[in-house]
Amino acid sequence: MTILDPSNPTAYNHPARPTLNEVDTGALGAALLALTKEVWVLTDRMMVMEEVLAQRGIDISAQIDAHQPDPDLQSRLNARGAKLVAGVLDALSGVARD
Amino acid sequence: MTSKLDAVLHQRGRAGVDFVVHLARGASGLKAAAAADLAAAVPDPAALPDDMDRRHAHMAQALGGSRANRVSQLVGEWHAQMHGLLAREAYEEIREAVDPVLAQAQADGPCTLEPATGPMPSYWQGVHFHRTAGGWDEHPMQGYIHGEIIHKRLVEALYPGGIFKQRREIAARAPRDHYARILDMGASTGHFTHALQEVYPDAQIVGVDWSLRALEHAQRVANTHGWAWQLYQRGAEATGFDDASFDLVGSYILLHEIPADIIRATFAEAFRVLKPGGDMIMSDVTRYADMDKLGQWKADAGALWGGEPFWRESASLDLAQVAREAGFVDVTASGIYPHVVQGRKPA
Ligand SMILES: C[S@@+](CC[C@H](N)C(=O)[O-])C[C@H]1O[C@@H](n2cnc3c(N)ncnc32)[C@H](O)[C@@H]1O
Repeated sequence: MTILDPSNPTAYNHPARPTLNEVDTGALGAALLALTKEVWVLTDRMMVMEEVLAQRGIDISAQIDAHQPDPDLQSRLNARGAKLVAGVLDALSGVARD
Repeated sequence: MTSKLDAVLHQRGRAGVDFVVHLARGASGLKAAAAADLAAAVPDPAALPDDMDRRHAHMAQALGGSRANRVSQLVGEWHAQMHGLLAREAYEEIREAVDPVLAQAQADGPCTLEPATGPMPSYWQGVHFHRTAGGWDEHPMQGYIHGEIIHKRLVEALYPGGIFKQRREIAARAPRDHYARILDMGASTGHFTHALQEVYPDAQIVGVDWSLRALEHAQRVANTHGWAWQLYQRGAEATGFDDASFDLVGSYILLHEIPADIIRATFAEAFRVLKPGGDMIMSDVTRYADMDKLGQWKADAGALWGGEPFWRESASLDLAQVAREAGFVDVTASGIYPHVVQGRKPA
């Protein structure tokens, strides 16, 4: 770690600031999964929106909230959800993707 | 079959709950990699330490180098912490619509519920079983959240086949075709109670559980069907009911949530409240005696990280032996999951 010293002011430009370290890894993993979940919720919402728009609804937002996926949409959602998760987990664990 | 109690979730809550299912399914590649590392790390399960705590230490060492196992732990930990909270979020999103329906279902109908007057036992109070945030009774609608959202949406998706099917099969194993009075110990939100009532439609059913929130939901379920269950917030080990007042006493997946001495007391209590000639049927999780050392370690790790403080001592018990000690005769115990013990009080 570079010790910052006013006699070398440009060292302040890109200080080697310590941030996360090994003990943060667990929390980092948890945050990653929380983020994955949020991404998922949005992905799901967009798929539902396309579906609802295709049905030419008027109050789209209320319709999306109330929309209960039929078995076909649910299985497409399930497939996409599992794929999203697998992408993140496989990267995290180093499992090769096919 | 649809019911007015079915949780009709909004998009955000529904997708959040579904994510827990996607997390489990999307982890299949990871799980395969973790399993391969595990098999390589433990070529001979029989050589694992006998003592379970030492076995955990040994396994931690043996798997320390497996990144797939570390990530697997992360997924398990996230599931444990989040599944209850996501289900709770899904409920919060629909509460305005659902609360009046729930209040009415609880108030209107033949089912009665008597709350406890004394304190809850220390083995139950404040324990977050299943790692459910706040435990069984913290959230005012925990019964609904657990019974309708976690069970019907999550458990059903992860273990398809219908949560009632297995319960009905077990209920139907009791030897007689008719029972006048049945006691369901650890009735919770009424899933086994429901199965018992379907299999024995004429029976008067009484249920006990320590969780008032769960019983409140059982009351809604019973009222919705027009069933006159009598529910009490009481322990299975000391129900306060009269001697010889039931024809059948049953429980479904209750025992692993209680300490061994309370399990013994529960069998003794079942014996006491049964009429002579009455039947007992209790189902619980897989016995450690039916697994190899590696299987036991997996179950024990699941319990350790899954909010199950009494699983080890409970799953280590020989339930047939416990039933005989309580006085039951013609005792049988069979099945891997659920493990079912049956017996009869001598006539
Ligand atoms: C896994 S649940 C039971 C599930 C339920 N029988 C079913 O079919 O889904 C276990 C329940 O046992 C309750 N419980 C724990 N200790 C108890 C005791 N000593 N007496 C009665 N109920 C108890 C818990 O509050 C919880 O609701």
